[in-house]
Amino acid sequence: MTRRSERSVEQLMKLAGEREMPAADAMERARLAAHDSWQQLLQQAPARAPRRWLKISLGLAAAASVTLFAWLAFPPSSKPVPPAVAARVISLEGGALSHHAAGDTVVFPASDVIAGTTLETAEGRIALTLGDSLSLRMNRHTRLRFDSPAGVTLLAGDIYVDSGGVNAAGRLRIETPAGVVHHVGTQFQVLVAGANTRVRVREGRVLFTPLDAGEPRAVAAGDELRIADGRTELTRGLPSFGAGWDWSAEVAPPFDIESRPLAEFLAWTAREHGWQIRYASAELQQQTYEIRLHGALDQSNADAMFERVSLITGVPLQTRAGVLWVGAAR
Amino acid sequence: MTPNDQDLVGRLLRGERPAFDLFFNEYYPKLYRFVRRRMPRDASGAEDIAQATLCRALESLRSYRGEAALMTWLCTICRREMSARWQENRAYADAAPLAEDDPQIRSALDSLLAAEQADPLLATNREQVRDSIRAALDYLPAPYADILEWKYVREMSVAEIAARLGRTPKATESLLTRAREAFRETFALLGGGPADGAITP
Repeated sequence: MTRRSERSVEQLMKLAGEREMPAADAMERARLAAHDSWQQLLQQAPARAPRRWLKISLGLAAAASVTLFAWLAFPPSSKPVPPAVAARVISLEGGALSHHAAGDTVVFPASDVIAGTTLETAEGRIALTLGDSLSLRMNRHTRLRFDSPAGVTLLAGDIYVDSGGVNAAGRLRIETPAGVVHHVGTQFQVLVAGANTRVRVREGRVLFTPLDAGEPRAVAAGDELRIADGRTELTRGLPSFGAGWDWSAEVAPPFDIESRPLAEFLAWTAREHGWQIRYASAELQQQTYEIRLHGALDQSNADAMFERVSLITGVPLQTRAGVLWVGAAR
Repeated sequence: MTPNDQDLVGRLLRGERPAFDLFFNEYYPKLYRFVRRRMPRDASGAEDIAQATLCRALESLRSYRGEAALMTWLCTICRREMSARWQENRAYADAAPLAEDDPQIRSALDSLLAAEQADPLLATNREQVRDSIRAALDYLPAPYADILEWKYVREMSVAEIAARLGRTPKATESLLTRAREAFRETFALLGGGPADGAITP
């Protein structure tokens, strides 16, 4: 193709602009409907081929009986085994690609991630759930393979895991080039950049088992473990909030505020950002359980969100040095 | 039918979930735009028809014999769906004939060369050319339309596209060349005339 024809393709593409996409909710409705139709198709037995009369020799009959015996001994599976769903995409910021055996596809919200799939974010971020309660988020420029609902392999980049609380049941095994991370009900980050691996814990505890099968090492809240070239370095007393954690809050699935007490919303926000909550008085704390929120809230900017909630509820909200002050800050 | 179509249908019939995701993500937006070009005033109607088409196609997937490309087969079902809706609702009667249905787009390209922006006729022609380009993109194999859009509309660099696809820049450059070639041929087939030199300044 000549330079001139390339330029013409460019001009035509610019003239057309971006292709129109259906609305996200329509797409989701259509996906569910199409999935139902597909399942109906799979449940129907395929139509039989026309019967043909064949002359069967004794030898063939003997072969058939052997086949019949084999079939009775090892009956074939009548249904295709459905592929295991390892995770589900909850929300998506920007674009991301899914690499799997069937080819590469663009990632959509509310889609399942089949075991064996690798998700790759470029300028995008993804929030997913694994199992019932485990939330996993992928930062920009991250490649993560979903081996099973209980295991992922971080190939490159930065992930954040929130099990939903210290006593939550979900367990996840994260393989990295340096070793394996097991969490024990917690909030933590794992980052892989070339030969460097970093595990940083906000709440709870994780166990890191080095690749050389050395002794597992516990990493507790406020700790950061760095592994490079087989050497480990532990730093303690790190804050649970700040720029290093904020990306995970930015990609968090939005909290549905409709008819929920203000106290729940504050607890959710504080957990997402790693803040502590301080109430100006016990009376005010009690009030936050009685105040119900309604409508929708833009949760992409915490300061703007607090300003709006304060305006609606009359309860002053302010963050300072990792503390969410409810009422007048001290 | 391309080997990819054959493979995809086979995997769908075997119940492979990634094949379903691939099928849906690839064809639902294309069918939506296919209907939308014919029903420009009814986005929600287009969504419904695209959905009904996919459901009908999946239910009768075993009847797909592969005489035509999967997209062509889906468009045939889609036309029947549109026709049925049209019988039910006269509001769909505003569906306009399109370049891909009646390939007369070359004259529109000639008009574009005249570059008379204020001419209402030209504005109509320009819209027709846009429709042809978008139709051509929807007839291309999966990654081609995406990378052409990323490169020329979003103005992403080859390196950025390569990173997004997980390929090397060299492989991406080669894919882009094939995508441009496929687009040029498809656009010409749809009556858009040869894309090389069609609207040179």
